[in-house]
Amino acid sequence: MAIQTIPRRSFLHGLGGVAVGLPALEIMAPTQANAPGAEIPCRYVVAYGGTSVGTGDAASPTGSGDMLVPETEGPSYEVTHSLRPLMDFDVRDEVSVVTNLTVPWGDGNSSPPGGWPGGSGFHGQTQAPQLTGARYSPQYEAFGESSDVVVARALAEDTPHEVLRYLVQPSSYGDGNGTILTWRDAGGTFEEVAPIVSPRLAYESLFAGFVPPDSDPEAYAAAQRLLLRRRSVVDLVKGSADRLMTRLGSADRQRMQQHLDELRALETRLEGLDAPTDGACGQLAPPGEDPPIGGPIVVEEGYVTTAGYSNEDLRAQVMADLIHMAFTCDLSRVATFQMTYWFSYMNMFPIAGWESDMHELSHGAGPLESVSDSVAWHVKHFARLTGKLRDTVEVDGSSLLDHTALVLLFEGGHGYDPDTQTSDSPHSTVNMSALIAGRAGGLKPGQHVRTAELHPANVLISAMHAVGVQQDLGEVTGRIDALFA
Amino acid sequence: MALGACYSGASSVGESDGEEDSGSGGELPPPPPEDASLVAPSGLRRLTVAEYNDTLRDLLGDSSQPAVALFAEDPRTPFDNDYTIQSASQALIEGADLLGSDAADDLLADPERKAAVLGCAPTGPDDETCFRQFIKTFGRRALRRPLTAAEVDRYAEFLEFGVQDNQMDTAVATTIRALLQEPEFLYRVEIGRPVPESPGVFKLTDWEVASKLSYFLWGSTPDDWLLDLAEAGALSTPLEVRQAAERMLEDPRAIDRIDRFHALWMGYEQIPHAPQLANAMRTETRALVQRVVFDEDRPWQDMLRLDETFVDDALAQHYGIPAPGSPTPTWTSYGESGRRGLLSHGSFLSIGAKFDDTSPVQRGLLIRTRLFCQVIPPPPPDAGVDIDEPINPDPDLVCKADRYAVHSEGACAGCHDMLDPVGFGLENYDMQGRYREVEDGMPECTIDGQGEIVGVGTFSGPAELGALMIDSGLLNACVVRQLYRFTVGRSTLDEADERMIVKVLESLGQGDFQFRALLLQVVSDDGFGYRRDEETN
Repeated sequence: MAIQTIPRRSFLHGLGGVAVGLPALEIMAPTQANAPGAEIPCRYVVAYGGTSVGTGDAASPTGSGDMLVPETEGPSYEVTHSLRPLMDFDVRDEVSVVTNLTVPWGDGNSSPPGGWPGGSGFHGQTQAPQLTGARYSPQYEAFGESSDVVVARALAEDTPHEVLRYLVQPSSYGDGNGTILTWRDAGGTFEEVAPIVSPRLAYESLFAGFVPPDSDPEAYAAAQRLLLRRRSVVDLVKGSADRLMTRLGSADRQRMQQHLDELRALETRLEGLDAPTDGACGQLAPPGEDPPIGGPIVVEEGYVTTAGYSNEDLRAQVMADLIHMAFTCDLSRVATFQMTYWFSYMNMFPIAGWESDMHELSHGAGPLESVSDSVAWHVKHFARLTGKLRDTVEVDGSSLLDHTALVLLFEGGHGYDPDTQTSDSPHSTVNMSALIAGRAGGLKPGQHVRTAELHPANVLISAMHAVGVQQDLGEVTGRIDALFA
Repeated sequence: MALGACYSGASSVGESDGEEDSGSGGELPPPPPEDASLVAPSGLRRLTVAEYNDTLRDLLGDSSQPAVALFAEDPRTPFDNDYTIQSASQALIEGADLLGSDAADDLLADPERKAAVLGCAPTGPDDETCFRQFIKTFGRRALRRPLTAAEVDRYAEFLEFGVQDNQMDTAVATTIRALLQEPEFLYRVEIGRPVPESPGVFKLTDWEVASKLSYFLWGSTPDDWLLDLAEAGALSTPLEVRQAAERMLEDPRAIDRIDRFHALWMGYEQIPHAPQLANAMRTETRALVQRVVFDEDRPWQDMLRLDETFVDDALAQHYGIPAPGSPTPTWTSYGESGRRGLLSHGSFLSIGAKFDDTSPVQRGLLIRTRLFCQVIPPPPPDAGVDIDEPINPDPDLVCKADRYAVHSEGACAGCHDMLDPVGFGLENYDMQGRYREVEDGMPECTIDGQGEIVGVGTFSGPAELGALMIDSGLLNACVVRQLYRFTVGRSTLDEADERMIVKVLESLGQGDFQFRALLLQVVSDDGFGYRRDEETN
């Protein structure tokens, strides 16, 4: 007897509230013949680390360097200090390293296309060019949409979470520096979209409405009642917002419209999701209370404290696990995974034993190895997520990673700094590197591709093409062919 | 048209259901402002993380500051409340929901707080009378206006949840959870009533004035007393608003709010020192604000001039000033230490550090831009702003003063002569606020501590700097400007804002002024009770 095929989405919306004990993924076995269009969807992740990948100064007196770029090019590249976690999670062959990337700079007053001014500071000016492909301007911050917004339009369909936006480092540790990875079109300008900074909130948000079907009937009934109450609350609040809209001026209506859209999206998510028990998709155990948020970094007392640290290592694990499970359950197909603020003051002592913060290390507070450890920490969590996706089996025997493209970008490279016209600075957008993982759309990972000073956004464009979004990004054009088979 | 005489000051709210029509029926249109050109635009202002936390504290007795963990940090510009850069997101909506849920659960687990908030003892889970009373009373506090009959009815339907669970707590929790997600809770909504003679200008309702006052002076929600004033129509005239504000300034929350204003303004909100030291410094600075602005109603300039500071023996020793002989903070004379006022505090001196030492350029920049509101153009492309010292081709120059001398050459001098000499005048004071004769780790580099505000005069140390700044005539305009930005929640100011600042400054004068008087002047200006619709793109 043929197994009845059910489109993945209908399962997740709850089959009339009936608990289904069959292995989830088996019954959702759309073959090409039986369920045209019910293909395995693509997934997309943009990750970010707020450190330059190398430095000069005291750390490398003979000239700036990094411990990231492999000597060899092509496949089977040797794993350097910063890339060591790729071996630890056995994903070297799932990840390509793209090096010798550059973000162009201007004459100090204005930015070239896809670039930064290059004369009035560094920190905060390389995010928009990398993430949107559009130039940075102090007045407008961003001139384009970030790739997650673009990709979600094509990929998200009716998944409950259009984009998962997670920020691991929950505090600026005293300086209010920036956190944003996402810009969306607000009708003429591009506004920032805040991420979720709490692992607990991310968890609750993702599994809202999940009711384990094999829980005892009382618990199930109680969970259903709670869900009903939540729906009533959202319905009431939505009604208030609707009525308020009619009284507002046009500028405020625009603001409230965005708020209302998010309420509607929440309402949709609360329609009820029966969590399957078997198969790869399942409700994770709750992460518990968020780790406490550390206070501002304490320079002179040494870094052997909890200042400037909020157990980002654990937060990153929880959030990566959520991204993985969201992809597995098709709750979302697009995620931004910002691990650290740009210009990050996160304390590197709890992470790697260096008595300094991430930013100071790039300015010679430690040897080059210390900066490389900062890089490696981000690579670790990127590699871990990649490994989990690789180890998740899809309905057709392929891995989830076969249908995913993930990119890891860093704040800066090292070398020439247009501010000082010196050649050994971490405040540089030459010698930049990025990682790209996954095999969606013909990506052929496991290579070291040294580019001819391409733009980091070209890596994003490559990932976009891989997941079926055949577009350029901002003012940057073209994918990197060498990354594909 | 006479103000106040024929204006009923009716608190017209709840048009949300279309049940009451603003401006129709027997209600008179509001009087126009004295000067429409001073009326500033306003838009939806979401509660900041700090305001949200304080609001929860006042509404529910919850002091756990839950929004810090669940909402993203507000950017500092330098204030945390610029509404023009706020936008809604899934993170916000979901965060507000979880916060509401947590707040309700926490409340119900605490019998004392629960009784205070509930306000009545239900006879059973179906006690609709008690439940409706709670909805009305708590709802008015949460939404900062009375609920309409239709709104009360909608919330009253939640009673059913309590009946299902056989405990009213469930209905109460659901109500709180919803109210804390209402747009009129999360956002400060100002609509007002249109002024016929001035298109685009609206007179704020008394309820809106109550919120505006309380978030300005307390950083938190109006309490019952203030809401009652709104209900009685007693916040309609500048005199009434001033009287309310005077009473609000007696509340300790006003001290915290003005303390926070100063901390955000100058940038010492987060002090990068070990918690014990940082807390002692914040206590020291808050005490100065309290004494100068509130307890003794001294001129604001005494913030820079006061010859005493609030320290214990440990902090006094840290600073190197004579210890007061007290294990707890007490007012202690600065004596001949060369210190006076806020500029001598560890909090202030911790700002403008670069890496692990003071940066004369950054300190100079702080004073020029934040305290004088001067605009310093960004450095040219070949300047090295993010390195720890100026480009220096001469390896024989070791001491800071010598290394920084290159800034006085060529094109660099234009800006750096405005910045460096200010900072160098404070170089005897390290980033922990300690006095030093020589540079850190370099005993051969004696610090001469001589500084200059070019165009104003020379000085050495914080006491003389404070005096010079007061004499410069540049302070008052900047204080007003920064306070204004904090009040309106916008960093960028437009013509109407500038006119209002000029008006306030004219009345304040160029000499000593009382900060309380400044606050009262801002709120009791006729324009405070009005708003303008924003221009849209």
